[in-house]
Amino acid sequence: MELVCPAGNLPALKSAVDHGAGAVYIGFRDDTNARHFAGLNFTDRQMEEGIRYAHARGVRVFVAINTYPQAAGWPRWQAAVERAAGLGVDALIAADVGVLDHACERAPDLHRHLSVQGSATSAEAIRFYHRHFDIRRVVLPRVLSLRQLRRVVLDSPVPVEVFGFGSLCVMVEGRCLLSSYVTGQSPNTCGVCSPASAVRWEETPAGRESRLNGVLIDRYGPGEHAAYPTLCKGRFEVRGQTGYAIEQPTSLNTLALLPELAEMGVAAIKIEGRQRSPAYVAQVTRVWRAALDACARDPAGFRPRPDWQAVLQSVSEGAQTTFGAYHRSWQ
Amino acid sequence: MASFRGVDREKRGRGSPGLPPSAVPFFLFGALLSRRFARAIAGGELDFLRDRILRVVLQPPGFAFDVTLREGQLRVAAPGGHAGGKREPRGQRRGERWDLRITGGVRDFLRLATRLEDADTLFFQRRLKMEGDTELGLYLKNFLDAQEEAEQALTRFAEDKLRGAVMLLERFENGTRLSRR
Repeated sequence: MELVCPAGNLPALKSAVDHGAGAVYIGFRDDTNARHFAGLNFTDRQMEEGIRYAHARGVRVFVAINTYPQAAGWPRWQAAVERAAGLGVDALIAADVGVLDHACERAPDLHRHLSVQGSATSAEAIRFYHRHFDIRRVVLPRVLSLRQLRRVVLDSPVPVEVFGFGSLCVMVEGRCLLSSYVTGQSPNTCGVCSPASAVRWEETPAGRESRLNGVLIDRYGPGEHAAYPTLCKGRFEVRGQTGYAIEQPTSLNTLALLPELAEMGVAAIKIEGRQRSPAYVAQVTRVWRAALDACARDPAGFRPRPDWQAVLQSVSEGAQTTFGAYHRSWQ
Repeated sequence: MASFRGVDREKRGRGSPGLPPSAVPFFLFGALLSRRFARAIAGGELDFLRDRILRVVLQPPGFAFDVTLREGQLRVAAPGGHAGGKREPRGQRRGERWDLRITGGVRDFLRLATRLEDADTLFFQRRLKMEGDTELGLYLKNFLDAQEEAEQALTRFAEDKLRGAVMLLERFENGTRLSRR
């Protein structure tokens, strides 16, 4: 299985390459990708250098152009596709059918992967994208159980990439509009759930408070782990009870499921976190490289090592890691 | 005027024009930072800090300093030592002007500076505190993350050594912790 690692800047890309990534995914410095954060991502010059660095070491580079353009911004998405093709990346990760169609026309030789934001959860949906846009890979949303995943992998006309590690959210991928409710922006169109300009952290006698556009998202007591200030991970008062009304801050960690994922034919494992630093990319890539190699050598005898799990746990959002939907009996 | 750890009191006492002796370490630190990030400053990458005040608080011991970008140089001063800053936060003493305040332990700042730790990790674990303008904080974090090795051989050497020292210290501490078990 290919290890696909995140990079929000050049040192992170080099870190991923140096620590054993099979591919690195990156984005331009604008709202054409779902990590449109202040100062994050690549200029064309940096991308050029990153691609050169990765290719020289046999590592592939994918570019995410995976937000949904609105009419006024369309030329930016068009240009992004052409810039990516011109830079010689190995694949485009896209979700919007307009972007995919444009890529087919203007850069037919550039491989296309269907982004997680495309939210294709059945072989039928994947077949549609394959037939119309000749996608070479699909990144599945984090909502399928292992049983469902097995079916999709079996029937999919293209290789399947799944998420292996990283922060989880409410996972209405490609369709989530929650944050628009308080900020007027959504990750699908603006590339960010909680724009930094709308976020305020404040230390109060009651604890650390996070606010999004003035709305109290959470209040962390002493010693409580903090989380990203997104609406879906907030604690709210519902019918007199305060708690996580939508989703608890947690991280996905599928290390223990590796033999099963390999056996069912998953082609690639994706690591979340383009917003994280080169230190995170190095720590996580190193662990996953070692685990994938160990699993390939002896799938039956594979057990996640405690020191691997400790590293992954230490960098996780939320106090716990879970198998996400993979181990859910209900859907 | 802010009064932090007597720095300002000392400054006031001497009342000499120009650079008071207590400001010399800050001045040198600023010059060092300006040199380290000279290319980034020239390229406008640090413009987000222009006339904005970043306050760094080392807790413990509660030592603090302010950083800003002015006239193409990174300038460091004792708290309240820079003019400007847009924010007058609620609940702060009068005259406490900063746009972004980051509080953390010396060890964690060292781990961040030597790229051994991820800022979000420290933040999740409550080891790093960020108040004020979050966007400014994100610019700062992403600017630092995007920095490649220093161009000057001496700076690169010093940063390498510092990273080695932090790692060695941690290995030593882990060793003693294990042997105590």
